[in-house]
Amino acid sequence: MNIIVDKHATGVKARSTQTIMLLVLLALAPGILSYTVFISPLVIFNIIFAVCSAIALEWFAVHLRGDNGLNSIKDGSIALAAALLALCVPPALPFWQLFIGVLIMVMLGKQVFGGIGHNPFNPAMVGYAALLVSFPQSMTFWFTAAEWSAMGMQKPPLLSLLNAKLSLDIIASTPNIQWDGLTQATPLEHARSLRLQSLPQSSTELNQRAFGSGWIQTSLGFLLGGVFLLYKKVIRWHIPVSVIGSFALLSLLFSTNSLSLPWSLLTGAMMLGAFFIATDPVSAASSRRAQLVFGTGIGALTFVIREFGGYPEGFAFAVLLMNLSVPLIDHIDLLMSQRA
Amino acid sequence: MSTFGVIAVVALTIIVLIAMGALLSYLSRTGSEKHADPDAELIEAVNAVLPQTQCAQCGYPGCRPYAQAIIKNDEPINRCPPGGEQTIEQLSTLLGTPVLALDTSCGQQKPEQVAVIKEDICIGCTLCIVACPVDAIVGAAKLMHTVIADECTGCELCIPPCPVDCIDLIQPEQTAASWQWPKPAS
Amino acid sequence: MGMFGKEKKACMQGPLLFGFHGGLQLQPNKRALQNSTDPITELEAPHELVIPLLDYNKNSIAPQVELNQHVNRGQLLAAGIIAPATGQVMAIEPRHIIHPETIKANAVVLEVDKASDNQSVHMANQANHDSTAWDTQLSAFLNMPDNVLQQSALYGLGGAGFPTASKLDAALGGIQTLIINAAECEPEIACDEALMQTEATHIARGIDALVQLTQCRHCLLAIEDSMPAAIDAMSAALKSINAQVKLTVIPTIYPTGAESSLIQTLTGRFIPHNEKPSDHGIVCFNVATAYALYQAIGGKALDSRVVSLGGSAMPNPLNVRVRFGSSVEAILLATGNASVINTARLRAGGPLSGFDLDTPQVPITAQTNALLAEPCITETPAQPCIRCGECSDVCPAKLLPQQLHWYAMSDDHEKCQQLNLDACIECGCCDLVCPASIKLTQSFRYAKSKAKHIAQHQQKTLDAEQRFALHEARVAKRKQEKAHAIEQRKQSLKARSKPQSDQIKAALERAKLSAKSKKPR
Repeated sequence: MNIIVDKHATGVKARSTQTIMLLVLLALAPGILSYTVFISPLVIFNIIFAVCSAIALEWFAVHLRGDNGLNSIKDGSIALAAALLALCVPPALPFWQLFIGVLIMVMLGKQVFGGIGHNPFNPAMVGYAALLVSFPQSMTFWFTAAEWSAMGMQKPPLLSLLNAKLSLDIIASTPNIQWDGLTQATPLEHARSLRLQSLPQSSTELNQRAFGSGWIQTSLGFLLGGVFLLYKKVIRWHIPVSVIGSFALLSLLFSTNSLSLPWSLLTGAMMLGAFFIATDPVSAASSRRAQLVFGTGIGALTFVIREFGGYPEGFAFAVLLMNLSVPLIDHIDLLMSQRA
Repeated sequence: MSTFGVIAVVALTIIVLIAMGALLSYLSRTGSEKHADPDAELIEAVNAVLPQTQCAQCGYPGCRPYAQAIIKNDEPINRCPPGGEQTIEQLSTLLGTPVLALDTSCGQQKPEQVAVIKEDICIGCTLCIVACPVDAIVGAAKLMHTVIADECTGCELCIPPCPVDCIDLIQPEQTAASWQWPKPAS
Repeated sequence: MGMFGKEKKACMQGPLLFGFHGGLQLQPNKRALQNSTDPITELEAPHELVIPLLDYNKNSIAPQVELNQHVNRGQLLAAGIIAPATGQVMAIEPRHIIHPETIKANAVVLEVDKASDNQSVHMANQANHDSTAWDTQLSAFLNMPDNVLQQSALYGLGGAGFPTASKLDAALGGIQTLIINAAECEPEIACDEALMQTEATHIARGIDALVQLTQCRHCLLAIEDSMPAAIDAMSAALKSINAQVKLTVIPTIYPTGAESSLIQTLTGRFIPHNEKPSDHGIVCFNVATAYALYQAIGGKALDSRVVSLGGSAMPNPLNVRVRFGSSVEAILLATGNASVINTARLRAGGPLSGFDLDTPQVPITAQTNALLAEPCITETPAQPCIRCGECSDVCPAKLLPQQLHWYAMSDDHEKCQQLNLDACIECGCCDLVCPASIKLTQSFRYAKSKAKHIAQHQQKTLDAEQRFALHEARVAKRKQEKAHAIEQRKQSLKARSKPQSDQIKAALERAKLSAKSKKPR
């Protein structure tokens, strides 16, 4: 059959899936940069490791299915998902655990459903959730560059940390590092433990701690990338605004946390999640109106999990739960638009 | 509560229940009156699935008789060559019976076809006109006959009676009105 | 009537435009107008014209001429089809028609008699310059509009090709707003723009005739802001004849020229696809149709149109006025574009709404607004949908192309219906923005034509069932009648045999008696 719609003759060049994924990866750059500087340079190794193993696994899975694995890698979606997963896990996570996360992400998060476009869940969040429930100790094991000095400790050389990441159990294998002093390092985790133990919480102290930990700077980096994506119209405003908006509103009204609102937005995964994770078009709701509902649900669930749940951060579970309700949201949206 | 009260409540309950039961049975009775003959409805449904070629290849003199036979005499659902696999599948979903392979003793499924009379050979014997189950052939004794292409179902029943073999079956040509856009490669 | 009230308010808001959902800003890219000195070049009728005998619904119609018959320009060849030139009927046979896939249709093949045809052109030109006759012609038309409309075989030149007479019939009386569509929003197509630049006064007269005929309250002429020369020409022309027409300049957004989008832009009213604009007191005509009406009132039937020759591979892009039935090949040869026949991909219509041609030996029709030559390219194969939703953002019919594509490809026609596939105007916007290069528009065209085919087939099945039932009833009745007749015959025989036997008996009695009487003797 001949050409039906002659795109070539109209001079319109639609952005390809590949371009979209590359733009999102580019938009991650400022966040990754401040992560490297303010939290840990180990993240670079995590990203490289996750991306390479994800690409290899994706090729393998697509090949098993009898398709051309190269085509599937070329669209860049799996590289993006791997980078997002690497940004969500603690920098000190042993490589073998990260590999399991990547394996689950590629196989159970994406390929079992038929590859790109067919996965109901955000693959990166599937991998993250699996890691969080499988390796709770290493998945809540955070330390930041600033904290080494804050604790008055010698920062271990990068090489020895990398060496530790290659081992099976990072804590047991590096006895010369005093890990114990560094537990519960994320500001969210700290605020949560204070609240749970009914210890007095000083807002200024918590805020300072958050800033000192490097989280604020990193979140600002992701925010910058998100604004870039909005400017380039790779994502639309509906999801990020509704995620952040509903979370902020609920925090203002009901938060028992002493962390002030801007600080609670800028610690944890809120910026990365609202602009880069929740906006994954494949697993998000389809119409703009449904996206507002989808985003509001994520923001609200994140707040609920942070406030009442067993985990200091609830973004991944909020996204997965809302992914689960996307078919319902889309269906109701369709019925409503048909009635109108 | 007094004894009278208890009796009153029990009696009222019984009355209400009986009334509801009566109403319900009345309603369902009038309902079932509407569906006086469930077989007739099924025959309608089966007939709607059949291709209405009226070719009689199933051994019955038309689609409706075959539909009646399926319902009343448990005739197998795979005796319709013009409907082919598609019709068998539709019938099996409709009747909840297993899908069968087409009974080739009845014939093979053929692409859509229409009869055409070679008008220079036709002797005007009217035998085909009598044979046509859908009155798609026009003509009169000792005058040339012709097939109304739009009405012809391609049943082939006009072929055997023709004494001069002047009827051909052709596949209808693609016209501007019947043309369809092709499905894009997925 | 409540609807009309609302509509009136919308129009009285004047310059305020309402816009429509979605759409895309495309480069107009009107090579046919930019690269040539004359807006329109007249082409002589080619040696042979092929006029397919098809009606508006693409059904075959019977010819009203015979083989070897001499026909004059404007003479009826079949119902609603006129001879575009003077000549002789050389054949009435199946010929290729202009179509996405090469198919044939019964056509009248006309050998043009150049000498007498040139004479007819000369006479027509003279009539055109005689402007004093216009007023009498116009009043004659307004008195007896049907005469002109029938004789000149007018149909819309916008794209759908709907017969103008039936459109006017449906609209007469209840028309509030008359819209003249000069939006011409699709890239490469410049025939309306060229027509407005050269024939502004005549177009204005045609519009004026429509205004007077429909007795509408408002008449809007909508031109896109990308064609300033046409806007100037039309505004001067409308002023000069003092026509009650409001020239509205609209933003250049594809597909603003689609009827539903244009009505929405101008009035703010969204007309569902299963309703006609005339149900809402609105009627739309293409600007070229208005011009054709002007010509028809002057006695010249609709037998030619302006075609834009364009595309990036066209060596000599220009607008030409050609007779209906001229072959694409003849047009390309006559304009010095013969080289594209073997080197480029030919396309009839615009880059979005048109289709590629397999062969240039096909005749153009009233709907052929452009002929494009584009380089041969291989399309990117479709990738999986990533559900980005860009397609529904640009859809002017407010559909969900992503979901519709899914159902169209899985032949779920019921779901397609539910999602309003019939409202799709096949503008191609969704294809343009899809990051996965999915062929959405083609799948919609496929599903629509398939649904139509299924409906036709169902109708045929129902007819066959009915005819069979009637046939069976008739056969049964005849059998019964035969049986009845036989029975009657038996009865009547019996009845007759009774008296006979009596007579025999009587005769025997008499014989016996006579025998007896004889014996004693």
